[in-house]
Formats: sequence, C-alpha cells, structure tokens
Amino acid sequence: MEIEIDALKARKSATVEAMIDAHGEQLVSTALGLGFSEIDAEELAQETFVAFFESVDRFEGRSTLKTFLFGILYNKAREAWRKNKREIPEEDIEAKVDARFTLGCWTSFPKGPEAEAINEELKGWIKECAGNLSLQLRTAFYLKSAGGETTENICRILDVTVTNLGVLFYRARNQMRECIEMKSKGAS
Amino acid sequence: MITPSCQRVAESIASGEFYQAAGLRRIRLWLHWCVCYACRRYRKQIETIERGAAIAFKFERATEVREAFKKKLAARLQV
Repeated sequence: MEIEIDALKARKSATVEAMIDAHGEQLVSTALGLGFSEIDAEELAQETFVAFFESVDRFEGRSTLKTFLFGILYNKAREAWRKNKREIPEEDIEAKVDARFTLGCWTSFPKGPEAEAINEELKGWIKECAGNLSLQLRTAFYLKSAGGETTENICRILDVTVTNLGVLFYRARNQMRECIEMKSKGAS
Repeated sequence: MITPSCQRVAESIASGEFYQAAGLRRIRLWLHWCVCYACRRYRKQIETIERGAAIAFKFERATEVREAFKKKLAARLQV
C-alpha cells in the first residue's frame, strides 16, 4: 500500500496505522538484530515513530519512508549505546587480514565454516560474533545480510558514501569470519 | 600481472566490489577466483556467514505481541 506523506503530516489515523503495519515490525526486528532486548527493541521502534512525527514536516521524500525511519532508528540506537556505554573498540582487522598474506598470496589458509549447511552451532557463533562488532559495523552487516537492503539504502541510513560502506563491509565480514574461524577451531 | 593478487581478490569479495566490478576489472577478478582454491573457499565462507546471519537474525513474534505493540504505539501517537 502506498503511504501518502501529506496524509501522514496531517496524522490521518488510517494512514498512520498503515505505516505502523508496514514498518513497525521491521523496526523492532532490526533493533533485535542490533542486539537489543525485546523490551528495548520495542521502545526503540516506538521512539523512532515519535521522532518521525516530530520531524515529519521536514521529510521531503528524497529517500523512501522506510529508509528515513531506519535512519532515525540507527541514530536512536547510537544514543542508546552511548547511554549504556556499550561502545565496542574497533578491532584492527586490517592488520589481522594482512598477516594472512605474503606478497599478496595466502599464507594462512581461510578456515571454517567448512560446511555449507547452516546448523544451530553456526547460527550461535554468528550471534556471538556479531556481538563483538561496533554498532556501525553491526548495522551495515545486519541490513545487508538479514535485512536484504540495497547498498544505496544502507548508505542513506548510515549516512556514509558507497566507498565508506565498502570499508564497513570489509571490516564486518572479516571480523565475523575471523571470529567464526576461531570458534570452529575451538570446537574441532 | 594478468589477474589481481589473492589479497586484492579477498578484499574485493569482503567489500562487495567483486559483485559489482565491471569490464576488464571484473574479468580479472573472476578469472583469479576461478583458478584459486583459497579465494573460492574464502568467498564461500563469507557467503555462508551472510546466509547464516539471514537465518540467525530472523525474528518471528507472536501475533498477540505484535498487536499489543501496535496498540501501544497508536496510543502513544494519539491516533
């Protein structure tokens, strides 16, 4: 259903309800994916809608409604992380990856996950390892892999350029891969 | 060099460039990937993690929980 922005600005109840129907659960799921508890995720999604209606007059439709809402959610999540002092220091993943190569060739072969099948163990490792990512890396990783968002939308949500997003993907994916490799070594 | 190094190919896979590169750059990346077991394995791992994340982070909430959330939110927004 097409949600009319003018009707939202006028707070027409049917349109607001349609917007909640269309995006409410997506926002809660994303907040859960970013590591918030269910109570906090719901609160974050609600605050996102409240903030949206506080700034709806400034919404010019240059991005989609969904992207705009996700941008607000990301900023709210950042505030929440800061408040709870959840800042995770960025790992020097570049150095770790560089150490795997000599003159551009693999010296330390990439190991695990070996099986293509996604089992409960791997899902558990993915959740644990995602917990070690900074909020920005985790959001980029989550929106791409679980959210299925396009590069263009993720750039808008995180307010970064395509080149910067490539760097974020590089760090997030390598950090995840290195972490899962460590866990798979421990398990074998 | 006809194809990029393993390090450059791995970088392009992780950053997403591998999938978007065009022209000669694309041919060189894919050519390397075709003949390099380690890079193929690296790509498979990254893709397995991504697919795993899509499943691991799938949240299905009960209908009544979703309805309660909607009601609470509608009340907060006064609609």
